[in-house]
Amino acid sequence: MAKIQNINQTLKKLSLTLLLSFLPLLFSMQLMAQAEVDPFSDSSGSTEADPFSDSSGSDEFSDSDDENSDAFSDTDEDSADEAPSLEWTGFLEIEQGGHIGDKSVVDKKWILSNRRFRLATNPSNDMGSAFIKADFIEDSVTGESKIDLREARVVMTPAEQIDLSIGKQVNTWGVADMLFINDLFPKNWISNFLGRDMESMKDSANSFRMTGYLGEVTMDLVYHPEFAPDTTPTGCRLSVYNPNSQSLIANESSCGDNSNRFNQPDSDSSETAIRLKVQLGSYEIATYYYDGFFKNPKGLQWADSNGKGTGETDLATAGYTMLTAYYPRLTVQGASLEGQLGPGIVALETGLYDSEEDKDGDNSLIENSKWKYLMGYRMDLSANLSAGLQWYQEQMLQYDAYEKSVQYSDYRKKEKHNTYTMRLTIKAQQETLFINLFTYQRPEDKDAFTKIDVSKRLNDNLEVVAGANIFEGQEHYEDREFGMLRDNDNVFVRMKYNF
Amino acid sequence: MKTLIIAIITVLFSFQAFAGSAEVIVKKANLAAYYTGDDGSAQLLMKVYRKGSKKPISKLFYMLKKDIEEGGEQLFYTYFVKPSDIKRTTFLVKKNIDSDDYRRLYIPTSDKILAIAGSRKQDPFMGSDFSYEDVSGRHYSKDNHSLLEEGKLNKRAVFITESIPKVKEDKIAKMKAWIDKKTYIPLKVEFYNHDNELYKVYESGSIKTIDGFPTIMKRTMTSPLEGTRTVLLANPKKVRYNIGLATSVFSERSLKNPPMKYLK
Repeated sequence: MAKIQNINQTLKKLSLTLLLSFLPLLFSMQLMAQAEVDPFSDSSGSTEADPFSDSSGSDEFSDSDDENSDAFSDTDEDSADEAPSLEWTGFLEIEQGGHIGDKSVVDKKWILSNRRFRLATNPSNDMGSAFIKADFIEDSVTGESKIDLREARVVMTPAEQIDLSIGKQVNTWGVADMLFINDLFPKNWISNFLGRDMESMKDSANSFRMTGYLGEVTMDLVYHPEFAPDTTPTGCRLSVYNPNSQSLIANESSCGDNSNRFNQPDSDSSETAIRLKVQLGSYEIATYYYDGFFKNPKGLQWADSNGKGTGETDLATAGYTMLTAYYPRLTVQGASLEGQLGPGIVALETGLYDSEEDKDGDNSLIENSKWKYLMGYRMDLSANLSAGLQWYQEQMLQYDAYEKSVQYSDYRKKEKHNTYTMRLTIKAQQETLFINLFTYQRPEDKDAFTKIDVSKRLNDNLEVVAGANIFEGQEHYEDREFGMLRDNDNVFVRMKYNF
Repeated sequence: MKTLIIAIITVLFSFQAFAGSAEVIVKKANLAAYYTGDDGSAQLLMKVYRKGSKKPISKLFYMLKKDIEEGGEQLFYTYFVKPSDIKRTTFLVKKNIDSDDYRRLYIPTSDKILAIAGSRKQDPFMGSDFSYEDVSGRHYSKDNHSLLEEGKLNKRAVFITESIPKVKEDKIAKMKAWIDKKTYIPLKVEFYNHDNELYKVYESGSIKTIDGFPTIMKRTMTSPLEGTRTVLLANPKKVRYNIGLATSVFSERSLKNPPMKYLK
């Protein structure tokens, strides 16, 4: 009986969602129908006519027969400058994904089940412009319905050489593909592991960005008043490693809001990132600086009886029984180069990660300083096939101290960890069909992650995507980034209607 | 201004002296099709018709261009308006004659500037039947030209030329062009592959004089072997020449912060 009621409720909810989803859709279709009449006449007969009929009367492109065509008509053009109308775009997206293969500790039918409706607009005047993107999300996995402001920022040019962008926004830099050394802006790894689209790989956050342009030199300053960590698996959709039980666990309670899941920095949690970029011929050379925190909880501290962090990171401290993860302080200095070499694009990037709370590297609870470097090359092999390869290495600094600090050699990480990535992209049917394959292989961590998807554009508005995310991992390596997901292989489908 | 007019007349007359030389005809066609004005902006609608499909996939975008050197290096900036999922995507190309193009694509949804190799100039431009080179112009110095005959196309007097790449290309083995005698606008170009098959046909559909420049308002590229077709239309109300675009417009800054005053 309870089950039937449940189904009833679900149906009600579903129909409401559909109604809510389709109202704006219908509305937008209406708008599009109005905009249908445009001056780009492409009547097939016109090719036959003398192309030089430039006698003003017989202009093929005249839209005189369409009085209502507001978009492009001459008379409205001038007035349009004075009172720009607000143009809305967006999409309706339905996503569904579930586990396949070996049984995960997260025992759920669906681990991705979203209905997302976006409205975006970009009003502007002489002072500057504003960008607003609001997502209305209904998520059946967490049971949440919420509004997510993906973007809410203003862009201004206060001086001839300076652009300001203030508000909630996405920032990106660095030259690597799906690997991040100097890009310490928040990433969403859950999205990546579930096959959500590229846009969702980056989280947006409140920040202040100033960009200065001086000839071939560009300088960027990005200031986050509040720490914006990466979004990493919580045990709700994907399993996580629990350092206390040293096992993979599910955590249903993490399905709600877990913006404060790990112990966040207390007082000043701001982050500052700077880039200085120089254009040298067809190459871009950049240097970077970052002052903030590890974006993943790379540190452990003792927790009190309520599970809350005490700030105590000395393993020898008596009186505690439970560890909890947190984000230790970090500074990074780096550099990159990108440009064409031979038939393809070469990318080099390096970064020195300075673990501020474990400078000597002798605290096994906090990640050591590391030197990270990457080499990548990508090229088009034919008009329809492109490939990219990357080699990325992380070298632990003060390895001797680390070796001494980790008692059991079984749990010791190696000094150097390699990651190899490969991307293959096939374009077909006039770039309306894409097949994408991206794989990470990490021999030292004995883990791997491969994602493949096929996307098809059916018309100007509708796109469908299907794909799979496959993880590999080994026993005793469950604390590794992909290894902890080894039983989380999943497949997904996505349908997106853009308007 | 006077000097400029005299200079133009002198140039025109010196061209006249060489008229009949195939190289000069193709060069003039190249200038007429791709180097109109010193700079310019246009709103373009690209309709890609897939095989067997009557409904095209459309892209609406603005293109800004600036000639660094008449008949030589050029700068292009593309700003996408539709479809909405690629709105505000921007694309910067520095067209070089003797070296690879410089290409950068900006993806606004993830704030990513992507370097794109500029070597493959004959690959499709955004999935269309046009190649990058068809959109930005294949330089006349890359081919040996000969004048086949003078004739008529759609009642217009034309030069019919044949061009063969000096350095062997992957696809193009031969091009045959019908060039209007009056405006030097190429009315039709046939592209032949190494098996001597006609694999692409270009046609200028409509020409309109804007700001004194004969402008191709409709370009059609058909791929008979593939069964596909692309139509590129210019919005006559949004084609402008000599609007004073500075070189700085064609920069990384514009990728991220588009020069909106030129994009409406």
